[in-house]
Amino acid sequence: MPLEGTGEVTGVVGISCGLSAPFVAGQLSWAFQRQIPAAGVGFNDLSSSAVQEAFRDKRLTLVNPIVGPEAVTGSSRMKEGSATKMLLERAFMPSISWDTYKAAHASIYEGSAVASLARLAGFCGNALLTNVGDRGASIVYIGRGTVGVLGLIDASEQRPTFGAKVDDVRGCLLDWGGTKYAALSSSPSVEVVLPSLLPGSVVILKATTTNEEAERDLSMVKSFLPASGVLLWVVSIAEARPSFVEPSTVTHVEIPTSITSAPPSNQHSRAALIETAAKWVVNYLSTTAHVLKGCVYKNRMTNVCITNQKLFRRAVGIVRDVAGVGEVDGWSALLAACFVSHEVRKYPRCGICK
Amino acid sequence: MESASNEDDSKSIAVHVRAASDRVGLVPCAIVMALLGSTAGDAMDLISKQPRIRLTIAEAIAKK
Repeated sequence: MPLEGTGEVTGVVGISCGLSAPFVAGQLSWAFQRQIPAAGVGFNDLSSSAVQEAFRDKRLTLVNPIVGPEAVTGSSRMKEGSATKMLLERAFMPSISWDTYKAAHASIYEGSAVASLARLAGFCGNALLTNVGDRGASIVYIGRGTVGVLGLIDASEQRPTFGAKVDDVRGCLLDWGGTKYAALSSSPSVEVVLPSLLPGSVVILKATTTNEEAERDLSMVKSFLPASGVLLWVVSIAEARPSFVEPSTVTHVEIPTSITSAPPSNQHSRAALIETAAKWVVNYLSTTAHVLKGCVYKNRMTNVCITNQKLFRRAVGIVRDVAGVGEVDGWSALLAACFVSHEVRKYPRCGICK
Repeated sequence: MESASNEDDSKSIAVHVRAASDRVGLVPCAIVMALLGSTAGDAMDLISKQPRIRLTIAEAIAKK
């Protein structure tokens, strides 16, 4: 948090769901060595933190809510991601209450939207199941502003979480918001992604503003779709109630009226709640689709990409538990899979293969 | 010298694993290898024939 106009850092907030990210620990360490106020936000046990001593002796402030065990697959990106978003919004927007989050959550997971979203998730799963070769059908999220950005984030999480290909789940932004999202301006646009979609693909337009704008967006999206074979679905959040599309391909997510009818001064709270609802929708769709594809075995993400040390250890744990073997055999099998041979035996001194 | 060799080996393995992470299906492949004692190539063949990886694992457990 640099002080405006000075470039001086007045505080650091480090967010790492597992409390284990080295680049977060490094920044927190940098802050407390200079006696700059710093806080860490995380959800795992403190023992996994690289700066646990600094937390224990109170040199760093720790925000460590207990959100329950990670029993549901992909829950770091879903449960802890949502909890982080809500924590920060509650810290900086006192007008938003926990009850409004509860109501928005109920509208997706308990309300009339459930059956409709489950049907849509089934189509998404079918799209991924056709995707066994180099390229197949895709799931594409389209949205405006931060709701569109949340689609991009969800799409980006599929590769490390489920071993998905880049084309499996895509996100497109309709509105760059001027320079606000300039860093994302190189991401593929609807003009590039939609015309090349293969049959069986599912395009999900998240309508979060007015009917007029939703109608314009829908017309534009339709103009870029292939002639047939691609399902277009509208997920309408807040007041947009498009009447110009086939009702069977629309999901209405109700947001508490205390928020949607809030005065203009409370519009940030309203936007934050709509974003959270949109996040829950895309998280649900992508996770369910990959469960239907068979990427999950007994709540374990068995197709996880081993892109860092934490995920390597997680992968060893999956091999060990699912195959019912010991730690060393789990390590050896995983390394042999990586080397595509038993070449791993060349490394007798590494302590892994003994 | 011994510790330096260990470090070199560990680094070499880390580099190789990092490069291999671009390939999908490594963990299911390792599960099948650990279950059936098959080679990496055979395990990959088994996985590529069945789009639902969960079912491949269930089949391997049944065969064990």
